[in-house]
Amino acid sequence: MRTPTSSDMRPEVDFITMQVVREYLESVSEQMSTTLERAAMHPLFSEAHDFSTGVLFSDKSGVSLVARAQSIPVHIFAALLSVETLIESFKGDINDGDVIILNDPYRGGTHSADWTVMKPIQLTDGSYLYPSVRAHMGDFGGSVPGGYNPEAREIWQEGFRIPPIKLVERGEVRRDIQETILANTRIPHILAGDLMAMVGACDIGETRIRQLLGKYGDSAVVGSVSEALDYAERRFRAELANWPDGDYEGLAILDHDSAGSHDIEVRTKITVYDTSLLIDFEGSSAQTPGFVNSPLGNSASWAYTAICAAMPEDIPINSGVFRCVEINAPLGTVVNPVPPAPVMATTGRIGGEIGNSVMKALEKIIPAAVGNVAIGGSLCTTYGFDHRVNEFYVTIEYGNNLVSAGAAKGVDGWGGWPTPFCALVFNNIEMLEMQFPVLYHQYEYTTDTAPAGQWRGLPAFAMKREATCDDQYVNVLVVGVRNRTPGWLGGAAGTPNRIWLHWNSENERQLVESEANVELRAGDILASLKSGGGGWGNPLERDPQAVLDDVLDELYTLDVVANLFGVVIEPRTMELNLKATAELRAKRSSKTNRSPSSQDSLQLDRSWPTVRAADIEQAGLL
Amino acid sequence: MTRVRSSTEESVIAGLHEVGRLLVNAVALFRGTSPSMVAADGRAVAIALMDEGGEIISISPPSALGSIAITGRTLVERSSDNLASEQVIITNDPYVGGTTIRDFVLVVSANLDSGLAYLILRFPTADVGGDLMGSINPRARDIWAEGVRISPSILRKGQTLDLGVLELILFNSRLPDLLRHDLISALAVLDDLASDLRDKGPPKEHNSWESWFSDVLTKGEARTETIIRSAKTEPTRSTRLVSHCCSEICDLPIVIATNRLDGILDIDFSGTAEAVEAPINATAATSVGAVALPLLGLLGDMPANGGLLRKVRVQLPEQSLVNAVRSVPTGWSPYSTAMSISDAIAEIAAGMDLLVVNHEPWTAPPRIRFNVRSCGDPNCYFGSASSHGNEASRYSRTW
Repeated sequence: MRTPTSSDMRPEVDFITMQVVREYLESVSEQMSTTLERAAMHPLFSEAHDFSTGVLFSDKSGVSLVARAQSIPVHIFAALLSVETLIESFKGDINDGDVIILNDPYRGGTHSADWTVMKPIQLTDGSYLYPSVRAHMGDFGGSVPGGYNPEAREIWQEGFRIPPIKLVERGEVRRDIQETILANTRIPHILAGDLMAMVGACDIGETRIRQLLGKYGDSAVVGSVSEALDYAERRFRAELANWPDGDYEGLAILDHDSAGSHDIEVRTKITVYDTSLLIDFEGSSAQTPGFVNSPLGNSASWAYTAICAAMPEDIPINSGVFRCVEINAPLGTVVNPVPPAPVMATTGRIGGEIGNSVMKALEKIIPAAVGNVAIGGSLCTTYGFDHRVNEFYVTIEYGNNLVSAGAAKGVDGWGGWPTPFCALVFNNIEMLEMQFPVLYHQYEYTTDTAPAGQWRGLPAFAMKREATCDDQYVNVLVVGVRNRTPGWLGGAAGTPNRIWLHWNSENERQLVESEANVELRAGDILASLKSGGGGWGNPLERDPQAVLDDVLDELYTLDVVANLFGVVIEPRTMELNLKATAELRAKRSSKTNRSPSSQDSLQLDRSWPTVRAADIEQAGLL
Repeated sequence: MTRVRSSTEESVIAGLHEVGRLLVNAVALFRGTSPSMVAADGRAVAIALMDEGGEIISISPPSALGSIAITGRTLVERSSDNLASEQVIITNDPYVGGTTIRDFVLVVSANLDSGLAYLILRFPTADVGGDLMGSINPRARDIWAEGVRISPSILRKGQTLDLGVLELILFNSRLPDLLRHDLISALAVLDDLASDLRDKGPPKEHNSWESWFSDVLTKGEARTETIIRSAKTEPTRSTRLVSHCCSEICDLPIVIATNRLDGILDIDFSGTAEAVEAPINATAATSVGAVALPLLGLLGDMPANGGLLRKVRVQLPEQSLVNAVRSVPTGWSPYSTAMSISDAIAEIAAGMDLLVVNHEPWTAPPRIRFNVRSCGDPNCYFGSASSHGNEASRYSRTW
């Protein structure tokens, strides 16, 4: 896949104007994002921010990402392919007032849950700007509510497929298309609002962009966009000039595909040549029967994400950067499957492996800039009938697939999401308990589970969630058990992920790979332990004061820090013993790269919960 | 017995036969050109001529009268503006007057010179997505596991195909080439039929199509009423039990209470079980189709038309097993629930000493069961062929 080069015929603009226009378009993206967050209905929008907004541009040389809000890179980078598909589909039959929607993974999408809405604005020279939204929708039909069907063996079993189609035509909503879309979701009353919010966000984007065009003129805006792309390209090429030429390999492995395939490999070879990169996925596993195949848009998106995460932060992120990157994804592999392979899990699982595989190659080029980009873990969608309000509901449980933001050089693993999902927000669990029939008994970091490193990773996250009504079902998947979230430059890998069904009951069982439509009755508890992202660097080089702070923050216990970091803390005074620390560290091997707790010893506290929902309700507190 | 009929009634019937031949030929043309085994089944394809209110004037085959009547009326009421603009409406949505998700329906204005009329064509498709190839899922718990629903959408405006809608439909079929062929063929058949009707003009002794439509319905209504009134005994109640092995559902009651009043046969399904999470829920179209099927004899020697339904009133409790309106699956209902309804109606009608028409499902169950697993019940249709019970073999045909 090649990225376009700038046109030689673009108008000249001064640097100030270019910056103003570029920042304005970033601001437009932010406004669209705010609109969507406030106007949409499902908590995936308003609480979790599982959407992205941006502005794309197309001219004769191709499609470019110009601006984006704080978004989910996996979403918005893949929107490039969406626009390419749109252009190919409509062949010029695009008019003012048209709004186009698509979700099909094989026609410009990532997985069927991610819907893209775009509103093309034609400019006087025939180029277009596209204010765009891509969002994860709660439900879109298919065999299983929420779409994550581990038993799917083809794309049709995952949900409703929408090729590029006009949802609004010359300003008039196509009611028939809208009704068809809403007929293929279990939550039409919610999705209708979400869909119109997406259209509304694009309308806001259009309005603001037209104001910009009115103020500066089409020519100046096109020139500014081109210069912004060229600027990013120049900056990144200058950065690449510092990278040593050569071939660098990386490997990441996904535990399974829920369909009998195991240890699915994503192999990456980055070739640095002159001031360009070739990312070659040759040698990656063949596409699998299960739902972890990654369409080309998703694969490219993850590759770009890893690159952008590792490059200096003052280089603007737009297609100018991508011009320097060529991607080879062999057809028929897990990173470029042939339809109708299922793909639903791909944005997180195998997607994360793609990102980490690229990052592992980068570890050999720019070690100071690398870190974890994968979610590295489990997945749970929850659906059922809420007897409190007599309504069907479906949602994603983020509590067991977040917290994989591992360490990077100079910073410990921060809470929550890694780079590719950086816009996602932890749901407020009190809000979740109001919106869905659940009660959280535990939702917190654990002690002695943060992967060690000069900069430590994030502790594992424990969740225990009780169903407060009957008729609740979960679709669950666990990976990152054998092939765990990696450490970097000698940092420790994460702990194995685990999910338990019917926790602390006679029916308790630990999930093996995946299950669909598991029934949870009132009082049943879903429990999980989710690995944090890996550490960075040699743990024996961690600042002892930082280790003491970790102990005081209850991230580690005294014995563990002595074992992992070679740091001695006096138990009575809780003060560092630097002399003993130096001696201990001198004795220890420098290859400390194991997780703080072995799989056998890592357990959830079985004393929780002590009080169930029924008891709370009886006490009049619910 | 010598029958003395008025010349108007004679001409109405003659006209119905003339128009009926055109419809029969259109059905044969569609079936003959379809590459799909499913559409090639003799019962599966139906074409009807409707008046401006969506009442059926003529239909082929007659067995589709009841179901097409509901579908047609629903779509005409909902989409009359679009149809007036020479647009072709397409849908497969069971909850918008439809039957099952596999049945695609196209409606177009017939553009007759002297009277507003519509043509409607229904055909089954081999696949429209969903959990299983063939879009029949014996274990479906909701409609979305069966396949994709296309709400009434504009497939063609004037002579311009809406490629977006077409692609949206085809994308969601595992056999898009078959479906594309059938859709294009359906459009061509409808265009030809409309042209043939225009060329033919209204039947003789009628100045306009509109007056002929009115006569057909009036005569059909009168004929039905006469036969209903002539019945020697009063109608009775019946209860049928429906089961579905693959969903472990047993003995759901379909309660049918019939009444004869002022020449109207009132059929009330109150007391029928509620809709279930199994693909045996019948929509209103399926149920009315099943009711009308054995009662076609109420028209005597008059070809099937909507006049019958003016004198057969069907009451279906909403979101019951016989009138699913949302969410629940419907795919197996023509072979289970509908057949039970038809059997019960036939029994009631026979008890009234009325002429009962032999009945069978208006479409064939899947011949090739792809990878659907049997539930283990010895009578399960999705077991091996050798283990078919009599119930299942009743639906099978020799291909």
